[in-house]
Amino acid sequence: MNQQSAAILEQLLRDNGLGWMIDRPESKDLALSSLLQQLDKVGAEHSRRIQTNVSFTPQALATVAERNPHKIQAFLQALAITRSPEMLVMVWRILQGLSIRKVEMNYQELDIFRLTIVLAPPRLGQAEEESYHSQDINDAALVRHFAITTINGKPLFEGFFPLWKK
Amino acid sequence: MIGGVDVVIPAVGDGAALEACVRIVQRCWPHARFEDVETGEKYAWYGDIPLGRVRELFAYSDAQAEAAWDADRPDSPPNSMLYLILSPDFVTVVIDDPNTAEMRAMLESFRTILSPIKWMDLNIEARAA
Repeated sequence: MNQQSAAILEQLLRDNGLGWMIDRPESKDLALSSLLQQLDKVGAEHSRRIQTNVSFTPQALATVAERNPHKIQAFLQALAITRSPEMLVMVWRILQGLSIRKVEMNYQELDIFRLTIVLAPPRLGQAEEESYHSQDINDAALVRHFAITTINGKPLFEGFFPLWKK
Repeated sequence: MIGGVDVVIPAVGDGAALEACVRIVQRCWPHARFEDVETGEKYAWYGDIPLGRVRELFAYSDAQAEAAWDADRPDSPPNSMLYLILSPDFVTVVIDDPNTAEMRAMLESFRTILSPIKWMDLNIEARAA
């Protein structure tokens, strides 16, 4: 484990009220190592899906936090919710400015859970849509981070925001 | 904007609130352009704005409106610019005329989107108590 990255990640988590994620009785280092691996997976998933390299190192996240602290807080809260790199890329893409074009949730008690979220750049058409899928019911909690509003009475999910602040 | 109307919306006036408003602006005005009132820095896309640092923001409906306002032309079209001001307990939107259909829709979206953000913060206070 890169000690510098681990230290920056620890600071980011504590600064954003998420120290509990690493304050485990067994080992803080283990938790940090696991989260760093998760961030690597998010970077790989982003490269695979979007065909561009975005760094999800703690250093890169800290740089974004200097300009947009609420975005990193929202992303770290998502990191606490989901183990899915795909869902975390979805979160990142919304934070980058994509619109939430469609949300489909299918749940049947003790049987199935399916979540599909379709994103698109606000100015472009269907060809640019990106679909993200999950069958992990814990990922339903991500939807709570969408801001809810209406425009001319029509429903709108807009943005991905921190659910609680420091 | 002299003579504009101040619309005060209760909210925690932070970067998240500004992002929420700016996303609505960009949706209603797809070619919107932005300016940090304090620094004069301009942004062609809201994703470029350092939302955590900006406290006051001009949002122009498009590049033409921005140019007209920059030139201080008297023929600047009404309601072609919003002035967003963050305060600890509210967001102020300064506009020419809040009673047009476009502005009413935009203001209603601001109020609705900012409302849950405000309540989320109250939840924190409740948790801390």
